[in-house]
Amino acid sequence: MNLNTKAKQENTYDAIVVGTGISGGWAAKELTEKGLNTLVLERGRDVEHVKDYPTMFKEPWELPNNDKISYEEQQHYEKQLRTGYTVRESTKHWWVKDTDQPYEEVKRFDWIRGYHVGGRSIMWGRQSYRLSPMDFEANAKEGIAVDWPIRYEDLAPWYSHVEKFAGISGEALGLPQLPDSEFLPPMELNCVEEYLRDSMAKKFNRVLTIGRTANLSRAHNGRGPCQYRDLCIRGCPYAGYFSSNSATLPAAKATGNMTLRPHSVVDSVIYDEEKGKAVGVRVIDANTLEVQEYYSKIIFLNASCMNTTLIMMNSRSRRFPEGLGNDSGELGHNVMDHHFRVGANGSIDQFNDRYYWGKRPTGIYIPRYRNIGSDKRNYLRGFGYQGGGSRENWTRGIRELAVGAELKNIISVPGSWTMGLLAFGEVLPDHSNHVKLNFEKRDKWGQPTLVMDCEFKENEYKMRVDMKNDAAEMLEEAGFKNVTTYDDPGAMGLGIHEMGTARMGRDPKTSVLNRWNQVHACKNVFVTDGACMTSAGCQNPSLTYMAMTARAADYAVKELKKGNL
Amino acid sequence: MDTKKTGINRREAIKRTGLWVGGIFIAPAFAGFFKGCTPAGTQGTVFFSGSQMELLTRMCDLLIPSTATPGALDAGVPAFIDRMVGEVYSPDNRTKFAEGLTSFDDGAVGAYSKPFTELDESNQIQYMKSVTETALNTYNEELAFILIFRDLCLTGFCLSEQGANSLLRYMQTPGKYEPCMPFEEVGKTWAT
Repeated sequence: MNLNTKAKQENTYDAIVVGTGISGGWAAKELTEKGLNTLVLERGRDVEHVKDYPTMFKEPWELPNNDKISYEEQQHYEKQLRTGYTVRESTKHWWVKDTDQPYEEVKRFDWIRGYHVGGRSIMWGRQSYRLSPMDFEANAKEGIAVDWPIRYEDLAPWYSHVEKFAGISGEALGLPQLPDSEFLPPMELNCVEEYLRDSMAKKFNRVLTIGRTANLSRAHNGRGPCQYRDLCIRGCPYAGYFSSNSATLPAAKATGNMTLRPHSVVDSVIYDEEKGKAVGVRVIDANTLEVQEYYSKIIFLNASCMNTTLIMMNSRSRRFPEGLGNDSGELGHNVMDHHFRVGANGSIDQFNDRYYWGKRPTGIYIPRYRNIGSDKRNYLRGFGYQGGGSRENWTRGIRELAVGAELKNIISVPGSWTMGLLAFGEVLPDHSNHVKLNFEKRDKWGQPTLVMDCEFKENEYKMRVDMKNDAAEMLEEAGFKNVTTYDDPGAMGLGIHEMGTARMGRDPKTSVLNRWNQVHACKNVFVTDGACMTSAGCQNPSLTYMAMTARAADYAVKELKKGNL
Repeated sequence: MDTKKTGINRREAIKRTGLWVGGIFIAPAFAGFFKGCTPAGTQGTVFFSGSQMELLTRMCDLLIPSTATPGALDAGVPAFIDRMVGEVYSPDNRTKFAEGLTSFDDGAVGAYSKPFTELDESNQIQYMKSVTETALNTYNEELAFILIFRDLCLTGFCLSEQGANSLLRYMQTPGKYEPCMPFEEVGKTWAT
């Protein structure tokens, strides 16, 4: 490619951020606020807060076919539909068509993606938990994978930093295994959840609290408060929850330092063999397929775990024949997610004169209690529960004999209170769980495609026994009736918490990133999305990506000013 | 299903609610509309024949009749089921549903020597209950037809504008969360 000097100047920035999801939004905000002229690249279309949420006010009867997409359309979303909740008439514009974005599965892998400005920060579950000191120490203590190069104390101030901006509602508990955030007031538990909480405290000495969520229980930084619609996934007209679109990208834009370029598929990072560092990125225009180069002093890869990995693997040079920063051979390995879809449900014949108003956009949380203190199980690590209490609605009329007015009477009043507990467990990093590129099979932008070869292992399956039985036991001990259990692991990816493919570590021989999320051997490239994770914890990971990004951005700017990058 | 309010595209709205006849849009009242369509493949339905629609319409009316509050036909539930089966179900499941409908009717003939639509209401109720009872008592890998029908009919009704706002209570933007208030202050099951 021949670029004249002027064009090269026009295409030169202080920083380039690849991706606009949870972590890319934060990179954009922090770098622009620190004065860097920043190019923010997004492979998909632009999505402006509120303006581009076409279904945010749709009533159920305005969405054809009970919000289900047609059989014809389903054929485009074979993999995206595996969650059972993602692709609907009201949300289909947020999910990629598998027919456009193919990948291969040596073993089933559910890669659930959204390519547009904001990425999955629009559709995320919003549960926000800090990792704990125990989580950062576990690998070293147990001899699993490699040690995290940082400890909780390194990240704690950055958790505070991002929480104060994002707004996380929750209850402070002072638990060592689940450090408190900078909380907005907690949303309330309902009577059945309180009842279970009290029983669990008495009988098991275990904690139940309200889910810590990036939903605003009161107005915060000009956003919110939450209106209790529980339609978050469509995009919130009230900015009642944190997303890149509602929070970080507007902040970045306000600095005047951000250039946002949608429809920009990043092909690779350009590595300069003489300078011994990256000098920019190669971008394919998603519409015209025209290739363009952009230059910068530092590059933040926030394309989401798998796509960041793809870009790095596709960035081959003489220095990095196996992909940028892949001296260790660990790039693409150690894939983690959370394993879930196991737990129990029960009902209770109490509180029948009580009901609720509003749809709380979070449930309960039971912090991890296994393998803590004197508790020792036949597996490593642990799990937490999400879930909640509610009253049965009209759907219970399906399995009734009643017909006619009799049926109408039944469904016009709510049924019993029920309580569900759904466990989320830690997945251990395992070198054999990996992804690689198929250079033969290319997508319509000419990009190589990913091949997934990952599975849950013995530790996860052993853990699931407790995940199921503990849930049933806690419900039964509290007096819940009709307690039933379920256990359907599905496949890796289903948690939509892909992690670990460019892990942080102390030793360049066994890890891809250092303690500042810099590629060990290419220090002006930072990776702060899920790819950086050295272990998974059992907590939802997005808050950690936010904190990690803010910390790395702070370091990057300081190093840049010192002339070290 | 007020098409002005819905924002769904016009062609879709027409497909859902009415017929083009000689270039003129005929917007029918839902109740009784499909009863009039007898020949198989009648325009205006997505999947079911006229006689199948007639049977489904009667079943919907029986399951959720119009009383002091609107019923399934007021809410356009037969058309909802036609679309769900015709557009969302896989070809396999469409066939299974149609077969289920036929065996339901055949069962009525077996028990009462008359097709379902020709039975008097008390026999229709008795028959529907007995089929439901059998389904509920039979462990089956696949959900019995009658339960799929009840699911479709209840869903179509409870999430319709008429059902959600009459028999049930609906509010898109509650504005607050009260976890445990006296039931009387809400008064009805929340539709969503």
